[in-house]
Amino acid sequence: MSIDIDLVKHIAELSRLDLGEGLNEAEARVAWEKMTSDLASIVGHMDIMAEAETDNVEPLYSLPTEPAGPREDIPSEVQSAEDILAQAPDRLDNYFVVPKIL
Amino acid sequence: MSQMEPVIGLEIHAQLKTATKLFCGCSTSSGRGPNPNICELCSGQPGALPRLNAKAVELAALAGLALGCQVNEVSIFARKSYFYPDLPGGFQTSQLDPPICQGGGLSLEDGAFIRLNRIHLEDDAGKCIHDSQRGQSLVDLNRAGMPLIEIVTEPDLRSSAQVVDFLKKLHAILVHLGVSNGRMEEGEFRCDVNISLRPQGTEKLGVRNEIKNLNSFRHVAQAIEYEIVRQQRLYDDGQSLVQQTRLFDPARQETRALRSKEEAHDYRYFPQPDLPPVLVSAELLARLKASMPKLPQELKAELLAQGLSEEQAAVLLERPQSLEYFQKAVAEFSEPKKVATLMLELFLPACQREGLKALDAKLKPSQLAKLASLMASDTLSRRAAYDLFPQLFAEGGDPEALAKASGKIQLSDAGAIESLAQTIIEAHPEEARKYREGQEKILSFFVGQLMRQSKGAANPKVAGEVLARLMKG
Repeated sequence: MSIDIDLVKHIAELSRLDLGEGLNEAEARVAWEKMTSDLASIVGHMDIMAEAETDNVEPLYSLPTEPAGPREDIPSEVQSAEDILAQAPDRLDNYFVVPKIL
Repeated sequence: MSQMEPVIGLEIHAQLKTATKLFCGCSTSSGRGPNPNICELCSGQPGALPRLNAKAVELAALAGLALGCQVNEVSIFARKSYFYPDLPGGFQTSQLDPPICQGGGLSLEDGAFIRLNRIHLEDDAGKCIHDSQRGQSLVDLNRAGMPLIEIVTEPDLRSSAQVVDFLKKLHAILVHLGVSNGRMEEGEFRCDVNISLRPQGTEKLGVRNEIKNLNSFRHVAQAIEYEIVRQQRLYDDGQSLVQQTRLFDPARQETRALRSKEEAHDYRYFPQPDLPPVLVSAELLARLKASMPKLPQELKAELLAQGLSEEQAAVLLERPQSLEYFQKAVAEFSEPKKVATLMLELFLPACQREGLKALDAKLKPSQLAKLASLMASDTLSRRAAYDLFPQLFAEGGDPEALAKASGKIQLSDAGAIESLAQTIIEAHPEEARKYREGQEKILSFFVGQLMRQSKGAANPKVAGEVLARLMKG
């Protein structure tokens, strides 16, 4: 798989990331190029796996089912809603508050 | 300008009827303000690990069996990634390939068979409220992690009427099987509509538009009608259609573009590494098949065979517990048509007014059966039954005892009616003469008099016969 700067920018857009935030144009270009070459190197390393012989091998999607198999449909007794709300950077009553989105 | 044919496919989300969410032990209850039931998992805290709800798997498999799907022994979950504050983990846990159920379908009233593509399990997102005054958004994650099945049809539907018929049938099956409560106003059954037009008689699909999140049968029909006209107009004007996601605005009765294909999501599906495959064993399938109740279609056929009308059958299948109530009453008085008529005219409207499920009413099925049998044997007139009903419904009890106590037992005995009739004829010699001269319509005047004087207790049919005989004789 080839990684180019357009693909990195697309992935960043999907993830709401801006590598150039707070940088001038030249610095930003360096940041994007560095990420592109880093990612290309990581993905290139992963490509070694593509050399493995996998004909007639069933895909393994996960490790054995225990201990994380299905659970009974019984409500948990632990109530953690207040703990979680307390961690929120901003809240209004029991709502989480986030920057305006549309 | 050629005649265009609508091609419609549906994606239906139904919330499964479980006590807990799909991957955590949070309760599925709602209605206690924002965020009452959230935990580390469904609020997307790093490191929290999901565990699948076994009941949700059973319900999804049950839906698949009822809809004639192939239920896969092994299916897997996948992460569907997108960024939005209602999705705290940054991904929805859904199924891509293979899903839990594949294939299947449902027959419509008009004979068309609508094929299903698949049914898969997934969790719901939370809810955002946009607070424009403060320039911020409020997030309620109570719905985040609720267990859903998404049912996807093939593009086999051709009109809004077919779509509504399909959705009503599907809804009835899911509610009947206990797969979902199906409360549409709560978002427990909602529908995305994919619609395109193509020249009649051609095969190639046109550019489609998707209308998201419709949660009433009426809105589905209105949105489709609007969309057909809108797309037809674009074709007539020679404009090309852009693939879009649209929202229906019930207030304006129109659909509006939400996003176009250029802005379409790239969901980057990949197998969810935190969850083992979903297993549906042969034993579980056998158990589900054995415990499967009769489907609405089969029950309807049985009710029609018992002599009920289409409408009666539909109402009994639709209202909560009313079929069970009906069956219990018929076990006591085996005149299904009469029991159904009494239920539809008096009993079910009263239940609806009081917000009661049929079996929670004070008037028990055996007592309603008794009331129907008293009416059938002419011991109680229709009018008397209507008069007594409110008290019977409010308090329950033996209809015969109540009828006797309030003097409503019908006089069917010709002798008792005869003396009353004689008195009335003597009191109205002028009218009696007109009747003898051939004005037969005036008989109803005498019957009315007799009913009034007997305080509704006389059998009007017998009264009419006696009066006619006395005046003509």
